[in-house]
Amino acid sequence: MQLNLFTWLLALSPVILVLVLMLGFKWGGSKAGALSWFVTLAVSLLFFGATPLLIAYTQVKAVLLTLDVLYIIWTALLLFHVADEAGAVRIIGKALPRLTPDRMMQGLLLGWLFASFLQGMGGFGVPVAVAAPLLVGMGFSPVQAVLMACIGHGWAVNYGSLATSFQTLMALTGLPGKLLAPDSAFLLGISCMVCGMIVALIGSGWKGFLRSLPAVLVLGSIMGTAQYLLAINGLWMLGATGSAMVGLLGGLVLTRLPLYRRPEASQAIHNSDLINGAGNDNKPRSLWISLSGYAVLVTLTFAINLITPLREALDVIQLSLRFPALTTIYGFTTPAAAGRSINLLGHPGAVLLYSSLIAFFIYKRAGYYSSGAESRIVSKVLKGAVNSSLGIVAMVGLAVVMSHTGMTNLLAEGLSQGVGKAFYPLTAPFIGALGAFITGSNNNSNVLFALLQMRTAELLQLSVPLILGAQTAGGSLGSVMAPAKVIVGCSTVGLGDNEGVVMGPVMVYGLIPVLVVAVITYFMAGG
Amino acid sequence: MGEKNDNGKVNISDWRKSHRLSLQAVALAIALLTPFALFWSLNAGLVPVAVILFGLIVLSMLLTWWAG
Repeated sequence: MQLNLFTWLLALSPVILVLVLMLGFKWGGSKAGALSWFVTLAVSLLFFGATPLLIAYTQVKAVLLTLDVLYIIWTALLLFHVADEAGAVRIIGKALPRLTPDRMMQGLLLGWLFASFLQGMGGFGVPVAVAAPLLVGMGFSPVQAVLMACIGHGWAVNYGSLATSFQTLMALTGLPGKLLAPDSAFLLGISCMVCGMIVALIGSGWKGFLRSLPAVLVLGSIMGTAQYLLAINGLWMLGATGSAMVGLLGGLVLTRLPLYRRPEASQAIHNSDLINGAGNDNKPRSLWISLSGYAVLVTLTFAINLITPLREALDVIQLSLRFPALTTIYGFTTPAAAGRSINLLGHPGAVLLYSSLIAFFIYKRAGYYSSGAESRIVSKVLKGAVNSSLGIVAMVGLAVVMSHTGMTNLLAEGLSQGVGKAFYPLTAPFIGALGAFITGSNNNSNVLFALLQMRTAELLQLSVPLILGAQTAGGSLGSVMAPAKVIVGCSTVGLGDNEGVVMGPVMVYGLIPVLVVAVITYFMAGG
Repeated sequence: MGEKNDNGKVNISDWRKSHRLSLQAVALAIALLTPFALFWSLNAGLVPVAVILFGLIVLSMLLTWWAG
């Protein structure tokens, strides 16, 4: 397909439509996604040479990607409602202000540090799905909670989930990790601080933002440096997890300082109907037992990720399909390859499921459930997950059609050709972010655009590791703005039909760290 | 089948709202399960079956839009 303004705008039309419907018309993700799915199919068939066979196979590929995501969403919701029904979320929400009564620090601890830690261990959507409801439990509004959890972990996506996105970058480009790590780790280290500042701003306003600066600078420096050192020494798999753990420890130390023990925040516990009334039965509940569900999650994740024999034992059942090469009538070809492989027993969703079951057993043994708790948990999970799941089905479906018909590629080509050598470094992170926004994944953004970015950098005689670092940093930060990810967060805080309310602010705040990365890349490339 | 208005007719909008979760659950089940059958039919060369199954996916999207 020839690149010109008309074809570029056509390729952009599904993205624009989703944004207009969700932001302008305040449609929910499922309704907006479904209509955009039809429009994407029409555009791809009429203008991009898609064939019925190609469309059919893309929908099969899309369902594998969707199941990969839904596995996490459903089980994260299950873990939350298992804990909530037992009154555990309420107890945790009451306990954190005792650790620090400072609302701004509470927001940073959960929305930035804990969410980043979860991103290091979990995958798509886990930080938002787990941290957002806890933030609501502490008194932040559902919109604030989703925004904080989304933005807070953006810097940790590239080296999170055992650095899957970074591994993909290495595999696709054929370049060694030690060459690619310094620039990407540096750019993400800087954006770590920016993410922390934004979380403080969302949670506590400008006053909180100003007061947070020393803490954010200290913790951001610690985490950025830790991630950088881990990455350049070949330990990129632990880049996000290790640095977030150091950050959490540092955060706990900072809560001892008088500056961060302002009691103004102890007001807010539970301003939402989301949090169950369980725990109001006046039965005493132990904080440690209440925390056990999440402790089990952390322990199991570490065990499965770090104990190789255990991981290999859980890797035995994989759901995977092999697809033929798919070509449009204009010759855009997607090579034959296996689709997304879903590891049924070792998947982050499976870990959440094990954690949920163990937590349920612990809470039940402790007598934390009233009669009928099981059916209430199942009912709440269904109500919270079905609508969001449909939104993700539609969004992923249209994203896969776009990538297989060359629409996504055309968007990136247009962006790269529209700017010259001088300004390409400014554009590179936005291309990464665009790919992640459309596909919902840093990893998929790298799959789509890493080679394009590398070739463009070579043609323009720019530093390839720097441009690829900007690509994956942009993908990492851009993935938190993806509608599919926002839907995940909204589904866990009772905003299942109001994703549009969150989409606007998440894009405004989410673009700030991408812009910072772009400016830094520009200067690193020689300005 | 659903709520009737003053004229004794079923109000589709009310019915849709009251059955939203069920409608969405049906749409989701179709959207998640049909592609596997579609994959099988495509690989087996059963084009008419594939057309019907793809029609089911389209139906699930229409249902998603309508129920959303």
